[in-house]
Amino acid sequence: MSSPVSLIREPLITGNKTYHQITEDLISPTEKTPPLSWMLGFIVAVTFLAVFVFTVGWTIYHGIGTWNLNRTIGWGWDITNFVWWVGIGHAGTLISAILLIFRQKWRTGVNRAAEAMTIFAVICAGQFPIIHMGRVWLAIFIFPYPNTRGPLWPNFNSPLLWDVFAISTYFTVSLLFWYTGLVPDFATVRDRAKGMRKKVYNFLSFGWTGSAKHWQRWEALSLVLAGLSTPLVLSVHTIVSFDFATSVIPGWHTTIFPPYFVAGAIFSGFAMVLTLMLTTRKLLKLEDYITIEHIESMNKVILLTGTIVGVAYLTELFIAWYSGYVYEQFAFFNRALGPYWWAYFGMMFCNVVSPQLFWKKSWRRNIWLTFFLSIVINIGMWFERFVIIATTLARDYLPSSWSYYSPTWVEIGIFLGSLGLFFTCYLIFSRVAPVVAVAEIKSILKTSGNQYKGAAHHHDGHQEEVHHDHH
Amino acid sequence: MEISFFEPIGVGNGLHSTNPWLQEMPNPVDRTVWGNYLAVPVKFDGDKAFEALNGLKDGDLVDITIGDVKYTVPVIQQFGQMQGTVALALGYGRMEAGFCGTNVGVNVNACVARNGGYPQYFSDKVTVSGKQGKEKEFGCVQYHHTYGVTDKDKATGQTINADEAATVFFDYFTGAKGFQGAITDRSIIYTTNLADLKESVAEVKEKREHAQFLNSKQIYRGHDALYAKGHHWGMHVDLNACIGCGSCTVACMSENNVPVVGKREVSRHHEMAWLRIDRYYYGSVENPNTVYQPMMCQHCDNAPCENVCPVNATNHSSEGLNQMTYNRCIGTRYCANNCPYKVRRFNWLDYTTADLFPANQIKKFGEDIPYGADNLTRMVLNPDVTVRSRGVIEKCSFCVQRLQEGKLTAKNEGRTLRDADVRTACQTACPTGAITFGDMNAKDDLAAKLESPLNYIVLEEVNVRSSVNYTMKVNNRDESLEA
Repeated sequence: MSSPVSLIREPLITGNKTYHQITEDLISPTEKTPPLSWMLGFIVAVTFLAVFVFTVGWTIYHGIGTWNLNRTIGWGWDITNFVWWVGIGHAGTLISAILLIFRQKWRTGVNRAAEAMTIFAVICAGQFPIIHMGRVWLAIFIFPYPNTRGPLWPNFNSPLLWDVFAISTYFTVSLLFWYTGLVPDFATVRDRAKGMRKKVYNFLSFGWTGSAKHWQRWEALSLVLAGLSTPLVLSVHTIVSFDFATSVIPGWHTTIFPPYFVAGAIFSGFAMVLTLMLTTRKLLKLEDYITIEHIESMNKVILLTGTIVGVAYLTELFIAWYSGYVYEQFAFFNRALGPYWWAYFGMMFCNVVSPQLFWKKSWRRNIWLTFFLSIVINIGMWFERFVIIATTLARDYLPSSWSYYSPTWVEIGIFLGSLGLFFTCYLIFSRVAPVVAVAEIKSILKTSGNQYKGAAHHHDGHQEEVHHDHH
Repeated sequence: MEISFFEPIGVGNGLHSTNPWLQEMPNPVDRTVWGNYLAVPVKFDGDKAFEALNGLKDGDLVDITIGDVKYTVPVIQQFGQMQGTVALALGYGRMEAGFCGTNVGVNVNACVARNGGYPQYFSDKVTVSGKQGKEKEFGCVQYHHTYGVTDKDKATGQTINADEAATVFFDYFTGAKGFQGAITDRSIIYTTNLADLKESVAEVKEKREHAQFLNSKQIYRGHDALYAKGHHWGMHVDLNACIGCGSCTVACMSENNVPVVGKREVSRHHEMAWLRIDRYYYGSVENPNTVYQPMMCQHCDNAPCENVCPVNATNHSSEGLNQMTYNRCIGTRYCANNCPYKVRRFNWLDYTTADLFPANQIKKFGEDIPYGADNLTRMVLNPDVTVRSRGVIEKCSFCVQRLQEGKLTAKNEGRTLRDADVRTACQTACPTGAITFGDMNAKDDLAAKLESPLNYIVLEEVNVRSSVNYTMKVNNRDESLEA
């Protein structure tokens, strides 16, 4: 993994850290009583989680009729939220798998938290296909299990069934990958802990001893899981896009959807990573590990994917016009100028216009602007899914059936509640596991930048002593 | 300003207001249910918007003074309503009309004056206010009423399709308006005048041949060979014969246990009718023509609803029926989204009291057993048809229970099935014989109807292979006599 020390590249870890300091900085948050800011955040998150439980319970008890969906618009906020959450998850997988393959070492600063985000986002996403069902108690019907009804299998032609496999595979692989990375770090936590805590972390680290054989197997498993995750970055949102692309509804039936959805997913995922990391680095004082350099790299990804998404929007409009097919032409005309014009405008502004600010280097490196835009982009990507789903259905083939849709308090509650679910998970994660991959960040300490070399001279040649010592 | 009163086809003079089927049957002219709505005239502003009397919009509440009495009624914009006139239905607002009819709408029966003993269904002592509020439950089942109504464009002086120009909600200050052909280029409604019949037939033929050519290029083999054998059920609807009376919709609800959902649910577009009558206005805004199009499940042989269901709850029979298996349905609603005809209906709430959901069993009148669960009430249900529970999709089945019965009759009598053995509920109820049902593979009643060159299939180019044919609407109007 080592590469020549560059005099040009900026260091990935600042602050002249030693290996011990890294351990101290990254493990100690799991050992201290959470600060007030965390407590307040947790109370808010759990409150929203309670809203989620209540509104979902309300929906199941009273029926989907408590939502404002109607005979024309069968999906609204529910599936919008589903696609939004799945999309957010993609950045974590991209960072952990694809950036690993491309040897992007800056990924080590953010991969742990980004993977956690993936898992929690997929958990949130997974709620929606289930709770949007009219008869949620029969959700088991979507699984191909042996039965005495013929046997009767699910419909393997249905994109919704593909979703079941795509999302469950994605969740499983992401969880394994994330947990594999956590094993040596849990061992580090264990080594510093006492009593019950030690037992728990010992269990969580599967009795990791840090032997060479353990490291070898760990490296091999990580590589296998990275190999499995890489196609998932592309396939999961491709399959989600098939929910729409394989239909006959103008505005949905579009071959551009798979690449466009994947780019959008990475775009929104990186925005969410930035939202989370900018907060986390501030609260846990991780500025030396998640540096401006990281933020700038992620902003570059946002600029690229945001522009791809913009090109996709314009391509859709062009193809609609070029198709000569009145249904398609009207669908896109209606998106931009019809009753939901505000959603289309919001999507265009947030996703295409706002990231263009990142062409300017100093703005890419501006934390406040980055934070603000990361929120704007998350809103924009939510609008995109809403535009695709609700706007398209609202005015499709038969003018007699055109209608309009706005959510009830139940639907809004479920969405806000899913944010509560997400942040509850994330906040718990930030106190029980190191939010930066300790073992992995140690591996890059000396490989980039000449800063460590300089530091090492001051500290009397520390680098020889600690090269393989991760603890 | 003049107001005209009319007895609507549903509740009449109020005699039928105790019948929920009739309360929920949309008025053929304005498509409203559960109440009377003041029909106000609409005109095109010559650019890109329709303007109704006093700037009113659908569902606005207005104060209307007839003689000396003031009423507050909701409004509906009515194409073809003569400028300077409004109209309001009689027969509503009964104070003692049982569970369903009490206090529905506004009672204006007293406004009908008498002249020499004869009722006067109009009054010229009427004033209409501006918007006074918004009706909470605006019970209307159709929100886009037109199919290319024409008027003069102010800027160019040309005749344009005004409703297509008016599809824009926000133009980003560019002055953009909807594009011409946005609605009329669709293959939903074909109409013509008798004088233009030849050209129109040729036009439809060309469009259909083009669609069929494109459809023949599909890469899937399809199942045409299978459907060419045995029965292949189909329907024919004559748009010339349809008068939009709504008998078929009520017959369908009665035959198939389709629930009546009430005003609030209709106002949320939750009506359950398996068969609806789409009504479009076309021709000049001032004096439009009307076309009624009964729209039910088209039993597509390439049904887009079937392949998207994750659990195979909707599938195709070897006789070409698109079937619903309610027990299997988990209610993802994907099928309804993917239906180009938007004929699938979802049980949003427990409308039939089929489930044991206490939360849904509203005891509206303080009764011990919820109204719908009462044994006497439930005798209204057809025992041959499953009552659907909350959370499942349902839709027109081509009265599959009647098909089954017809097949058994023919079998018992040891003969082949005739189209006359199988008559759907809508077909039997239609007073003008607009609906013909039968076996497309047999040389019988339906096959005869299918030979007309005026026939077309709605949205044929989508290649869903619908089993329902419609006949082009032909008017026989002398255009020179029109104002």
